[in-house]
Amino acid sequence: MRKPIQKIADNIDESLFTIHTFDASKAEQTGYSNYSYWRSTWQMFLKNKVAFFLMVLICILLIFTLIQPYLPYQKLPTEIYLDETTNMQLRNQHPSIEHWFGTNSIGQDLWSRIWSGTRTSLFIGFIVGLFEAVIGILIGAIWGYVRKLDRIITEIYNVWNNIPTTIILVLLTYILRPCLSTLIFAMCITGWLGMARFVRNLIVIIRDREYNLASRCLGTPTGRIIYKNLLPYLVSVIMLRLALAIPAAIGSEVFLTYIGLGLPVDIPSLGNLINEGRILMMSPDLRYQLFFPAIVLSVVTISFYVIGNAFADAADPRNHV
Amino acid sequence: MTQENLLEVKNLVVTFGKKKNPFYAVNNVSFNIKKGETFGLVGESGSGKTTIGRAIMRINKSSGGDILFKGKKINGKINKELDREVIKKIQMIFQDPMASLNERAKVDYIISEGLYNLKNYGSEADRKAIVEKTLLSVGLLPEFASRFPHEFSGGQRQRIGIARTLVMEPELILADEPISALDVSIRAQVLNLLNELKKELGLTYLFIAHDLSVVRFITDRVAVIHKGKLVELAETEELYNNAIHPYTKGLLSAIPMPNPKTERNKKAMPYNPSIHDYTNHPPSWVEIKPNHFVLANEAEIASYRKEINS
Amino acid sequence: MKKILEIQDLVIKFNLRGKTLTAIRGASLDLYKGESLAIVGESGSGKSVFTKSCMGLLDQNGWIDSGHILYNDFDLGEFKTEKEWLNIRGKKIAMVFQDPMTSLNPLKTIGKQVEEAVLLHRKLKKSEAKKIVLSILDDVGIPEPEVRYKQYPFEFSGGMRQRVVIAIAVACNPEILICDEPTTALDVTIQAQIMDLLKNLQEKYNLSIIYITHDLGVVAHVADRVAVMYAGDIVEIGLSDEIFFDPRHPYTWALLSSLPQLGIKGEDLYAIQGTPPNLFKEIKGDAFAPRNPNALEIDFIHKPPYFEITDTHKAKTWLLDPRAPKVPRPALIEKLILEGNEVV
Repeated sequence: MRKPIQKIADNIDESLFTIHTFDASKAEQTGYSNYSYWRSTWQMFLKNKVAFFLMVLICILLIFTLIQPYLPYQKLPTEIYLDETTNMQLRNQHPSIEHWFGTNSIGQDLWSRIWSGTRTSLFIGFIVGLFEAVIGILIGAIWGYVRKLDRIITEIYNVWNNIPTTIILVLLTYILRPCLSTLIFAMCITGWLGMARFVRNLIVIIRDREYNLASRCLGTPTGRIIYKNLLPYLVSVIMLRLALAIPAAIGSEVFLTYIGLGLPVDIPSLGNLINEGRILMMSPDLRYQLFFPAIVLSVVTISFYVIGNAFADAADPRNHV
Repeated sequence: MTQENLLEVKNLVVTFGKKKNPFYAVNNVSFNIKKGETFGLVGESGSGKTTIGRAIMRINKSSGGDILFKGKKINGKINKELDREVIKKIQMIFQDPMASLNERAKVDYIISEGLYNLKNYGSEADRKAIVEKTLLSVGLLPEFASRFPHEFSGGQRQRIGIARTLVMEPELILADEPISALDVSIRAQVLNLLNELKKELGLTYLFIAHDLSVVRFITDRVAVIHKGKLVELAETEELYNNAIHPYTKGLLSAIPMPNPKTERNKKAMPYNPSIHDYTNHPPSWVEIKPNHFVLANEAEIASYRKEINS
Repeated sequence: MKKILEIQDLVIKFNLRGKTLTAIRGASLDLYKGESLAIVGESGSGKSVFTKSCMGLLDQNGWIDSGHILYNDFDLGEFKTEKEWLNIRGKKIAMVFQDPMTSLNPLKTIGKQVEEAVLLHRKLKKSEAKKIVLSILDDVGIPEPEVRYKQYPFEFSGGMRQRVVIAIAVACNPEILICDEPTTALDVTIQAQIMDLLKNLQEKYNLSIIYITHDLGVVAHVADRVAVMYAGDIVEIGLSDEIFFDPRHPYTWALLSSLPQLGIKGEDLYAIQGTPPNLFKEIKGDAFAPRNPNALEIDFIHKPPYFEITDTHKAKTWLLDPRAPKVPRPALIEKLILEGNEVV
């Protein structure tokens, strides 16, 4: 045996060369990783400054739409305001101290109309989104997991999907009174299809993974397998779709109002407001009536879109550094 | 070790694919597993060994033949009571510890899953006690119950998988390549654990593997499977020392031994299936020596006997 | 023999979730021309990271903290841009990965993929390139290369695909071939064939091969020299015979003891206590000490340097210091050595 490098070995005390008493428990000390999925997701999300800013913005917007009627100096959205002196309708007034966004062509205060409209549109968006989520996930999960039902539900989906939404809406509006509940009802019964298909595809991918087989071997019933094994993996993608469903629903409402199938004029909504504004688009004087609702709609849509995407990216465990 | 047969597999056939042109994953396989023994099933990928395991667990449907557990037929449609009994008595350990545990559930739930299904416990305190006891019996600490699978190493996760099956109080455990995905030094820990549990709880194992050196250490009898058919079955030492079928011989010679002096110059002896001519003389399952079976036709049996006697 | 690759005191760190992980802690390795070197270790030992750094394939969050990788008068550790690597990767140093299923592009025919590799480093006409591709496919043992040339990866079995991957790797006649567990995902009979193939190619193309594996049987079959890795450091290195018949480091003893061939039915297999150390923390002394029943007091304080046993065999353990007490090899190892020598 040749001598080792002198400089390290020389200064070491002889007594150190004795056998250390072996402590088996020390051998078991593992590296405990303090990784929490949701905390990592939240941290990744916060890194995206734009998304965070927009999320704060949307929260403020939401809170504002809810508390706006209770603030002082607010006007009623459907009341027609008369000029005190002439007793004529205050039509097409520009934004002023009295009416912060001006008035529309029949003298209604635009500021309160816009917030009332945003309330209505957001309400529609959330309800439709929620329905889509609950029914879509339920049906999608069963469709994807229970092999026997796959064929039959696929056939139903194919038929239902091919009927254009517009036709269903026309029919329903014709049969029932055109009002808020009709619109929500119509959008709900066509909206869930996309979510169901999406969830079904994901479930088909993960249903035969080993941990699901293990659960089957243990006799776990289908419901609990879906609830405990499959859905937790889909939470992030479901959140994304929800976040996109809301602006989609609002957009649909705007479109339907545009073609005359939407809400009646006495219920303000972003769709109604934009429609009214559109008529006056040509005269530069009155453009403000289109301007304000369009901005609100754009902000809402873009925010939800960006937040949804940022959240989906953050929730993907592969992006967790 | 009594002579009673715990599991009997008779002419099992499992096919995949269309009715007109099915793929025979398992083609007329028969063997018995006696109570208290460790039975090894060895084959390469695509041989059908995992499919057999899954057919016994009733995850895959059998297309023919019978599987009898304690004399009762368990494949095909069975009544609820027998189904419950089978779930309780026959359990499976999976290959990949990374994929076989639910990442989003706590270890506590993973181990108690079987208990929830069978309602095999009294109160909540009972259940917790069972989970604690089981964790200790596989060499893990009871405090691990509140953690998630990703916080553990491969060997520890495999132990959690074993604990999961033990709460069911099974009699037969199918171990589907339980150590292939583990590190070399961890394999020994898990194998020792399996042996220990077998002695303590009187378990019977069906050990499915492709690693022949491990199979030699842990099994009492071994069956070799090739493309859906059993080609040889014997007691372990007999098979390793006196293999008869050319496929078994090829398989044994391909195992690399940790001895550079012999290994360096060893050449592979690949198995060539075309050495069998089964067009006019189909093979049958023959007991060529006591408790040593081979798949061969008459001509081959004659030549094998000559080899044995020489 | 000529030394072609020299890795000196390499330290590689990774940034994971805000914490720093030291994956390689001062490992050194020499590679000579025409030899087969096997790196043995378990998961977490750092063997893949070690070799990936020689090709510039470290993940985004990893970097070489200190140390040198000397190849052909270059320090590969100093390369910062992709451009610098273009001349080395594939051309001089090639790599074969573990999983043949994901190593090939499923959308291109394998003929095209091998051709791409050939044309990347040589300027040839299409017809000449095709001839070379066919000869390479023949070399790696693919039957009917003209027919197979036009086929897609999904039409090949696992073993065949791995042969194609090897063909792509040797297409440009590299000097060094790094094989990262090339046969772990394959059946044992296919594994034997692939190992023989690599041996043949090594002779034909005069390659130096670095073999990464955890299977000591494979090591015995292919390696001239063996390096044993634990927790990011090479703890013992020597000729194949020396490692199997004269192991000196307690971790090598532990690895050899856990071979199932040594197990006696009915008794427990030898199992190493505990788990590998946490590489996020700084390790004081010998990394294997907490799991080593023969550890000395000094193992917990100072990291051992290399002690030479012969010209070709050295180990990082204080047991080899002249002042250390004589610790005999475990009985299991003596048994293994005895049986091994007997067979010959």
